[in-house]
Amino acid sequence: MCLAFPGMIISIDGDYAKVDFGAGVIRDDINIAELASSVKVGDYVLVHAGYAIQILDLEEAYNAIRYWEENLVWKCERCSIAGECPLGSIAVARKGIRLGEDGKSKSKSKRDGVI
Amino acid sequence: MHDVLSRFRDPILAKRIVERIHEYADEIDEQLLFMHVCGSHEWSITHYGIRSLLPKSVEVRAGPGCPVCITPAADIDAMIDLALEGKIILTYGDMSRAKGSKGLSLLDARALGGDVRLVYSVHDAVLKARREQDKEFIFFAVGFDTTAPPTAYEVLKGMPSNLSLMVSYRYMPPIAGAVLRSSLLGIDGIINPGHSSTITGMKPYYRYFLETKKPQVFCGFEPIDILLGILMLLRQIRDDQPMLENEYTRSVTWEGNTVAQKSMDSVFDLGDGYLRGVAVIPECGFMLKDEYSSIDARNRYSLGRRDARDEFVAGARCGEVILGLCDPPECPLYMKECTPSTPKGPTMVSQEGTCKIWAEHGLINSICRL
Repeated sequence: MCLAFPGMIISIDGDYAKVDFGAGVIRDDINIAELASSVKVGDYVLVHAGYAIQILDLEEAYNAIRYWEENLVWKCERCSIAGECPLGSIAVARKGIRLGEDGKSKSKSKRDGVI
Repeated sequence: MHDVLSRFRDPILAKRIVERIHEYADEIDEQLLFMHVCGSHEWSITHYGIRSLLPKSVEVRAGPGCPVCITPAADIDAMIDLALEGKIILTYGDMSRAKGSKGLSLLDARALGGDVRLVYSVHDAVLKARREQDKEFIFFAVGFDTTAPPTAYEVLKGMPSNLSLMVSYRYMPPIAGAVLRSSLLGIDGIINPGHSSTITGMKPYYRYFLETKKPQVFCGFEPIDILLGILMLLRQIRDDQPMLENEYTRSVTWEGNTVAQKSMDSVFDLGDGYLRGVAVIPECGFMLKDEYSSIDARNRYSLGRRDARDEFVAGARCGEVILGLCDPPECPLYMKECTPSTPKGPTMVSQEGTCKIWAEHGLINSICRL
């Protein structure tokens, strides 16, 4: 029974909190008693069947995803433009610009590849 | 969803992880079998078509991770008997459709006149019992470590005297330990549960690592979480450096949720736990402490110890599917007599049951098997 959803705490009232799960889903009967007492409004929590089981460490999430992005996307050995500008290589990839055999962008526009 | 959480669905990063997975698998150049022990992991893996992205040499199977599926038939039988004796049974929707040893489910008992009501949580159960003080209610408390703490909280808060608990919770780490040890399964690495481990922490799994030295990764439920988990397992194998690794760092920690653990320790003891169709695993069955025997349904209704033997429908391979020895399509009843609308076994009734997950959107899984 592992299905749990992340949501943001909007307000707290004793053992219960109002949590915004996004997409218009807000519940005001989420039990937060099983969380560390440091839980506060604005925290993201994981909710399972009406009870919050963990305060999500979003800084840790950011560090984790950043580590993998840096190692697998930005410094990818096969992408020769990655060495120039880490953010630029993601921007290029996300714009779906095709790279030629030499790893250089096939687009003629100077604006492509720049955020 | 918060910005950073949505990056766990980034297709660019996912593609690069998949490329790296293929590279490592090529370097390792061996058939590898990984197992997970969580119905929600099977749901994510199936839903996101993860198996179609993996190299042929890397297989991921579903181990025993569905709480409804492993609830002993004897417990279901006991609840049915009590329902037919006039007690009100409060249960989850999927649990109500699982059949006991006589081919009857709680829903069938309702059709026979038993009062069976569906609830979403233990809190629901408490509210219902409070509203009708003159009736006797029993809450069928099934689940793993993620589901047990709320019940502990309600017990400590004080439960209405007309409500008792039929506790059938299971503690996950020994189950993972049994899967790691099993020479029958012969796995090369395990994807540890994400939310159960959020509660228990990584700590209880360490002893199984010391014992078996097999790679273990605690994994989240987003597609990138799962791909990263598989990549981490492969990296450990490629570098010959098995370890207890955490992919789901935003939720799983070494210590776990100590507040929840404290509540659980005050309310429950651990004893032998029977996993339906699998085995009795020591130290994995939660039971109410003696001081709570008055709200323990097993005590209140003198249910006694029932035989741990189990029966599934003739010809069904539910036990093997639960254990991860066979895939749903290998069961002769799968999608013939046994479908989501006409389930014959527990694995087809629960949202976390392997058969139901495959039946509803397991096309990619089935293609990968061909």
